[in-house]
Amino acid sequence: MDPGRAPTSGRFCSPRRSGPCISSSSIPGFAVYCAKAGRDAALDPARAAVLAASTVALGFLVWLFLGSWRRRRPSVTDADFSFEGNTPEERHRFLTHMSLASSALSIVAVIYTTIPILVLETCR
Amino acid sequence: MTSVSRDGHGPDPQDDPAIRRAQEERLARVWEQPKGWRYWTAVNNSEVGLWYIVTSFAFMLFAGVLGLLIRAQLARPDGDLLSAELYNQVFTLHGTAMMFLFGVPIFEAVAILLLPALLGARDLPFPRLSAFGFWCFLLGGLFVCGSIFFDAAPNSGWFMYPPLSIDQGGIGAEIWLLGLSFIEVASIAAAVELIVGVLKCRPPGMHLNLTPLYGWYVLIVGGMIVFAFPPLIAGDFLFELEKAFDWPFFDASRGGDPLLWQHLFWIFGHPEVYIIFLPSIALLAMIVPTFAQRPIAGYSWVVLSAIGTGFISFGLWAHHMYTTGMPSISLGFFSAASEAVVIPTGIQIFVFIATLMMGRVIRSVPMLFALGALMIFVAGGLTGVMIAVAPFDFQGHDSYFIVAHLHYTLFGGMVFPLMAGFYYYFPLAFGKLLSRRLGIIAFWLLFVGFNVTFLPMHLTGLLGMPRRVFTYPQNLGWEIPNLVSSLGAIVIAAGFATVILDVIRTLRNPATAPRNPWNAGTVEWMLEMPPKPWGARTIPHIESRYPIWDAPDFLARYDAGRFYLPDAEEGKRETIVTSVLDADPVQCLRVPGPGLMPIVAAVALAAMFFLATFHLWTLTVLAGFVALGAILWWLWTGTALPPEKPVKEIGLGERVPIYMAGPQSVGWWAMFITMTADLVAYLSLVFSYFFFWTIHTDFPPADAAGPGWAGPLAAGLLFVLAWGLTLAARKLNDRAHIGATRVCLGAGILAGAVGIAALIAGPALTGLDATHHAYPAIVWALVVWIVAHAGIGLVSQGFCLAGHIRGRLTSDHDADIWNTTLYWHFLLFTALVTTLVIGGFPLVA
Repeated sequence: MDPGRAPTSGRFCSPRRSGPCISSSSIPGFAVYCAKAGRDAALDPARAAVLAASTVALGFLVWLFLGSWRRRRPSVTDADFSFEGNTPEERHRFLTHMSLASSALSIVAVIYTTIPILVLETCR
Repeated sequence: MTSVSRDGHGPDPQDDPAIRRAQEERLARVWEQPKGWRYWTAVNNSEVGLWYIVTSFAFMLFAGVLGLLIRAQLARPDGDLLSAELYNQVFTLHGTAMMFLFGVPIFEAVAILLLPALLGARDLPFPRLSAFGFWCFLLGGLFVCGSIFFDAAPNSGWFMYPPLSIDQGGIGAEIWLLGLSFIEVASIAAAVELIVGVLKCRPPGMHLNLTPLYGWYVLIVGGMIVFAFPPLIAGDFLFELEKAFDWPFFDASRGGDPLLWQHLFWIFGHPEVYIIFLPSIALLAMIVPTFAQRPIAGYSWVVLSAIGTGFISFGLWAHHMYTTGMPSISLGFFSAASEAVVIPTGIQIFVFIATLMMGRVIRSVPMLFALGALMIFVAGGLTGVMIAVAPFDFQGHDSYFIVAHLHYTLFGGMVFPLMAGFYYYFPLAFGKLLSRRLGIIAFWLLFVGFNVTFLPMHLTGLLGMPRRVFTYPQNLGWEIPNLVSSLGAIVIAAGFATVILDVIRTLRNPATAPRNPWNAGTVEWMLEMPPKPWGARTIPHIESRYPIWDAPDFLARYDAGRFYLPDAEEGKRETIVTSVLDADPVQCLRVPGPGLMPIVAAVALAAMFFLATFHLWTLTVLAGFVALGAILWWLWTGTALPPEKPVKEIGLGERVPIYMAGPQSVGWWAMFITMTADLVAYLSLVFSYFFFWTIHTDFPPADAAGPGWAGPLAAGLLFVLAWGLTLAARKLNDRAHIGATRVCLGAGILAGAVGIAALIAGPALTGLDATHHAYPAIVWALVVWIVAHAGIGLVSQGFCLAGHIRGRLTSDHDADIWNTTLYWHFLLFTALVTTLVIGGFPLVA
């Protein structure tokens, strides 16, 4: 048990209850690891797993990004990002652009959310 | 001048004014509003949307009065206007009504009213579903709000945290749970309607990249509702089981955990903030180009950022729970995600600013509100960045700083854009323009009043005043900021009073607005003033995002009925269904007219929920049967009816079928979306099961005897059999094997019924007592969920069997069995997961 905190309310996590808190993260395996290993456990095994998962995610996103980049064509109407033409081809260009930009945004989001695991050392 | 006819040969009949007049008379007769008391049986989007808006504004005013009571109580130290208990009810209902009865419903209301006009359609694909949703919303809202007059309102805060809400909540908590669950049903109904509307009811030629931005936002927000509301429905389900039957999901002394509720609530609650914000910003995306008199700059970036915001908003929920003692890794993760959402949100704001900078801005009341919205929202967003950082949040948590932050985001992100949209679209709803002078006065009252009320609250919070206290002592330095806030609240009230005055004054004034009064370029402004009951005179062919600006003869062609469906030859209400990506016409959809069934079904369902609040179980079950009967009658008499001819000429040389089944039809899409929402609710229950597993060292507990593996295994196999028989029935029916189809449907019902019995037998025969511990409780909850769904599956099979026997379901007209099969796909998946979890997981754990 966590000696510093008496379990007087439901508003915080004791070691046994750290699981639900962590399970709120998007990496369920890591959440379960810390829940079961306790608060003082080292993060190293989970860190490796999260970094591997992030690498796979980033690899997939980069693959999507490059695929969209190769297929992307400027809008037929003004060589810009307006995509105002009324043809299925223009609609396709628009969707390609959307997938390109969405994968870029996702890459940023994945990097953001991976940063914490690089600086922390235990499940605390 | 003679133009080419609609089929490309000979003179165009639309050249003849007599023909056009006859068409308009037929359209007027078909789309006529019912008179007298029957007016309330209307289902057309123009009526239902209007009722919806008026009702949610009424709830907003009610909640606003509660807000004024709060400010009156806190205007001075040791206030005694309200007792502590009444104050608890007042602030709980203020938050609840603003979020659930105004924030979300006003999106549905505005979208139901506007979306058909923006898409040039005559109506949405399921008008009675909209009407049903409205009546559910009205009844549920009255039930929840009315409780305060009986001193029985919910009193534990708008997020209803256990154990407080269980120990002290009384009946108020159940009114909250059941009343809001009922309203969530309406929200999901509206989401289904709106998603299918945007995907399948765009006018021919409106490729995805030409869809109005409002349509994109509606699509995204509809999708968010489908994924965000079900976790709360699952949470409500568990909570009600605990309140009514003492199943200890949130009771730590019996293996439950109050934090489970916080997770389920905020998995809903945080996306909900964006569900409220995005559709209001969507109004700005329509308004800003009009008053900049140029197309939006960066259409694709707005779509991207709306998708990005919607997506990331699902990864932020635990930032409402920083002080629950989460480990630093969770704090880090949710802080990072909370900061990341700023990127797409910021893109939208910059696109609006860029559009204004590149155009020539016309000053108007909607623009004033739009600019006010941007200023307030940016301020609220900046405090959001502050409290996304956990160490700061630890200081600000549960203080008035949070109250200030959330009001800045909601007023800036929702109320002001909505007011902008209100002034902008008022002519489209009523054919009249609101007063410019009163609008400007109202804006300044609201803008100044808002800032005077909520800016000091940042300070009050930093000075340490917690939220939700009913009074405070002197000499803490809180007196002056509180007094200033209370004075500001009066100014806000004066602002809203000015708006109401303006509306009453304008509606009494006979003068009508000119057509397209703002000189806008988007499709909805093609409508005549005052608006006609049929909506679009003819469903246009779209070739650009701003057809009124881009095609000089667009309005003339529209007025002459030279596009699609200029007539109602068969005396039916019709609109066009198109393909999802490129909007090619695929079907002429007959939509229903006025009817009582939505009201009857809503009243019966309301009775069921309300009676359950008082634990009158016999009457609850009875009301449930009435609701089921009403819905079945509605389906039997009014859906998927075989038409008098297979195809119809809709104009411009297009011939399309009238009846469609399977993945091409709107009904199949609606079923798919509804079942996706249902699946999310189910997965939230599975999440709860494994949540308990993570917090317990022994789960299932060593002393738990059940449910064993035999019952679940038998149930799983029987459900596979029932599903297979349903699928076989669909395929056999397709090949017109009449007898075999009926045998399969009948045998499917039997297999499903025995499967239900086997599923119940598992926990029942092993003596699992749901009140003993969270483990048996969650096992039983999963079983109850599947049993209820399998029951509906059996009724659907029975419905198909009866339809087949009565000749309404044939090999050519088989929408019912397509939808039933789709339902069974989802049912099979959830049933198998359940049997694996409750029967299989204990073996490996």
